[in-house]
Amino acid sequence: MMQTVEFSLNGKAVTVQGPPAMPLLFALRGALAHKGTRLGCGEGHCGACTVTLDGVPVTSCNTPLSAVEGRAVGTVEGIVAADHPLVAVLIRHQAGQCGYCLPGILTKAATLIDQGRGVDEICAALDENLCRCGAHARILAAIAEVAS
Amino acid sequence: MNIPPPLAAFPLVSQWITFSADGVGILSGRVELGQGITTALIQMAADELDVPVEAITTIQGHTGLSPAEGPTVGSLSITFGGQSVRLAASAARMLMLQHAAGLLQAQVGDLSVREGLILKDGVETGLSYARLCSDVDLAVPAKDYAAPKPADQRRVSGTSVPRVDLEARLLGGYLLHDMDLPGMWHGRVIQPPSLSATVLSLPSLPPDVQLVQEGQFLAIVAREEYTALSAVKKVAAQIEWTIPPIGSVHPIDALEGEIAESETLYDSPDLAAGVTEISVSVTKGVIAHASIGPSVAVARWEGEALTVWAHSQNVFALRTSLAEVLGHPAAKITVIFVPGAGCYGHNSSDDVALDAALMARATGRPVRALWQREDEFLHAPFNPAMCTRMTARLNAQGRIVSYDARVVSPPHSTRPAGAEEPNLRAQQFLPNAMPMGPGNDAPQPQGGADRNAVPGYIIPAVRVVRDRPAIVPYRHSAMRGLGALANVVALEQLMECCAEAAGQDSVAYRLWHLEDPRARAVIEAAVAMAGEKDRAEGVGYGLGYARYKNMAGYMACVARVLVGDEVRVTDVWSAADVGEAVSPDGTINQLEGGIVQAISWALKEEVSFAGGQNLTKSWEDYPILRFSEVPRLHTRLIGPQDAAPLGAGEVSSGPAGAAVVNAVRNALGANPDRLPLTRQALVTLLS
Ligand code: FES
Ligand code: FES
Repeated sequence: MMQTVEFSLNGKAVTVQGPPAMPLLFALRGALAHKGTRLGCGEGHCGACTVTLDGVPVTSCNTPLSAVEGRAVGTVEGIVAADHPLVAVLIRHQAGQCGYCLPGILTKAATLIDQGRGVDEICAALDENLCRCGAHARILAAIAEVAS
Repeated sequence: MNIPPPLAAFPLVSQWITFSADGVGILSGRVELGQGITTALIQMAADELDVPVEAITTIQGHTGLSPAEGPTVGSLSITFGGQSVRLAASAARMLMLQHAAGLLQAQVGDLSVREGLILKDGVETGLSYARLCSDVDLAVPAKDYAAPKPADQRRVSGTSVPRVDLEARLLGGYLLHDMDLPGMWHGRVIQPPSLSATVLSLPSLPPDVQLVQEGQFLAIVAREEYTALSAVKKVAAQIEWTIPPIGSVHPIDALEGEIAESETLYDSPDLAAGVTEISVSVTKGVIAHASIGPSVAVARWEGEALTVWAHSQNVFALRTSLAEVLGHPAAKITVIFVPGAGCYGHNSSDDVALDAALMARATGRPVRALWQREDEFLHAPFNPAMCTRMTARLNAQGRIVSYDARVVSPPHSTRPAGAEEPNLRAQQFLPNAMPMGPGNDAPQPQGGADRNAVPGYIIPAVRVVRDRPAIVPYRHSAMRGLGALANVVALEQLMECCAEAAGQDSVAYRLWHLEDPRARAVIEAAVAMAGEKDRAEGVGYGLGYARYKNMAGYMACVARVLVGDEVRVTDVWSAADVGEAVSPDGTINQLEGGIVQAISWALKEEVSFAGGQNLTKSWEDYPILRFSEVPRLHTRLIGPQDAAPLGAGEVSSGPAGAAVVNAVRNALGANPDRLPLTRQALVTLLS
C-alpha cells in the first residue's frame, strides 16, 4: 500500500509516495535526494538521522512518513543553505573527524540556538546524539561560541 | 636519505605524483578514515611542489591507480605514506625544473616555482607545471631526484590547514553511503544465528524483493532501500535454522581457562629477585568498534569485470581476498576506496564488500549493501578480551630490577590477507565454505596483544609471555592501539604501586626510570599543565604515560576524576611529542578523539555475553561516552617540528586510559583490576 504525502521540506512544498509506515529518513535519502540526513541505527538511539518537524528536533528513522503530512520538515541541507552561523563556526573549530554524526548534531544544535536555548540545555539535548570519533569538545566549543 | 618502505616498493615518481593542465594529483594507498590524512598528504606535497593546497587532488586507495602500500593502520600513514609522497613530490619538482632549465637554457639553480609557475631569477618564464605536464617523464626513481626541503622552509606543513573534506561531510554526496549508480538496488544480508547454523525452511517472500541464497549466505535485494529493509526483518524473523549449541564459556572466563599457545616474546636471562615484589592484574572485556555509520559497499559486475567501492582500510588485500572467495581472477577486480563513517580498526567494511559482490553477481545489478546496527554489534570483529598481569621486583633502594608480564589474549588481527586468509565473514556460509583464519599478532617491537607490554622504562631484566586462550567465542581483530590499552593501564598502575612501595612521588619515580629526554618532557609538561591538585571529596588525579609501540609518539596524560556512584572524568591534561605534526590542529583533534574513546572504553564499554552468546544488539546494550560526560580537554604538542613524524592516531589511547584508571585508583585507594569501571565494577572493587 502506498500513500501520497505532502509536506514542506526546508520551506518548499514536496510530494512523496511511499508506504505509510516507511520512516521519513528513507523518503529523504531516497526519492527526495536529501542525503545529508544519515542512517546510523534506524532505532532512535544515535541521533544521526535528526531532522526538525515543525521546528522540533526528531529522529527521522522512527518517524513514519504518514506522520509528516502537512507539516514542516527541516534538514541539514536547509541549515547549510540558510548559512546558519553554526556551520562556519563548526568548520573553524574543525569540530569533527568522520563527520557522520555532524548533520544530525548540526540540525539539532542550530535549531535550539535559534530558539534561544543556552549551551547547557543544548549539551543535554545532544546526549541523544552519539559521536564515536570523540569530537564532542570541539562541537560544544563551536556551539558555545554561537549560542552566547 | 631515509627511503620509507612504500617508496622502496614503488620507487617511481609517476607512481605517486601526476601533473595535468588542472593541477597536481597525489596517488596514495593511505585512505581517509576521518583522521585527516588527505589534508596532510596534500600539505606535504604542496610544500615540496610550491603549489597551493587547492591545486592538489588525491586518489587514495584505488587498486588500479594507487601504489599498493598496504593497510592504513598503526599510525603509520604520515611516517611511511606521507614521507613517500613528500619525497616523490620533491623529485617531481626537480624533474620539472630540469626540463624547464633545458628549454630556457638556464641553470636549475636559477629557477624557482611559485604556485605552479616556473620562474627564472624570480621572473615568470611562461612555463608552468600545467604547461609541461605531458612533456616530463616521471617514470624515474624518486630517490635519484628528491631533496625535500628542510623543516624551516616548509610553509604549509606544520600549519593547521583546515581539513579539505570536513565541509563536504556535513551534506550528502561525499560518503560511500550516499553513492547511487544507474540501476542500483539495495541489499541487506541475513546473518545466520551461528557459524554452523543451516537453513531448514524459508518463508514466502514479500513482493518486489529478490532473495539471494548461496549455501547459508542469504540476502534480500530490492529497488528501494526501505523495501529491502522491511523485507529482511520479516523474512529473518520467519526463517527456521538448525540451532547448533552455543558454547558456554564467557570470553572473560576463557582467559583463565585452557591456553592453546604460549610464547615468550621477550626474555632477559636473569630476572633478579629484588627485595620487594609488586604485582598488578588488569582484565578488560570485549569492545566493539561501534562506528556511528554501519558498514556499506557498492558492487557492480560488467561481464567479467567486478568493481567494488568500499571503505576498507586495505583495498589491496580486500581485492585478493575477494578473488579467493569469489573464485575470480584478481586482475578482473577493482576495489576503490570511498570514505565511510569513522574507522578505528578492522571493522565490517571488508565483510560487506563481499556481501555486495555476491548480491550483485546473483542479481545481475549494481547493489549497495549495508549492514544493520544489530549486524555490527553481533557479527563485526571485536577488540578482544584480555588479561595482563605484570610483576616488578624492587631492590632495596626501590628501583625496579626485573619485570615480567603475562598477556592472555587472542590475536589482535584477523584482517583479510588475500589467498591464505581472506577472512571475509560470508566466506563461511558459501557452498565452498572456508573457515576464517586464526589471525596473528605483529612481532615485537610493534606487538599485537603484547603491544606496549614491554615497558618503556629502564628495567634491566624483562620477560613478556603471550598466551592465547583455547576458547574464543567471538570474532577478534584489530582496534585502535590493539593491546596497548590494557597493557599501558596495567604498566602505569604498576608504576604507581611501585612508587608507593618505594615511598616516592609517582612522577619522580617514573622519571627515575626514564632517560629519554622526550619521554621525560611529555610527563613533566602534562604534570605542569595539570597544576595544583585539589583535594575535594571523591576527587582523584592519575598519570598515564607511554611511547606508543615504544617507537612512535610519546604522550602523557593527567586525568582528574570525581568518583561517586559512577566515575566522572572532569579534565584531562595532555602533552604529546609526535615529532613533526603536519597539521598541528589535526593532530590534536586525533589525539583528543583517542582520549575520549579511551575514557569511554575504560568507563563504559563491554560487549555483554551470556556464556559464549553475544547479547549486544543495539546502542541500548552498549553505552558509549555522551556529550555531557566528555571532560574538558587541555592538549599540547611539545615535539620538535624538525624531527621525523612518529604517528599520532593511536598514541593517546593507552596514556588516557591509564590516567583515568590511576585517577580512580588514587581516589579510592584500591587498584582497579577489571575494566570497564562501571557502577557495578566500583562496588566490586570496594568490596
Ligand atoms: S538512525 Fe535514527 S536515531 Fe540512529
Ligand atoms: S565525527 Fe565521527 S562520529 Fe562524530
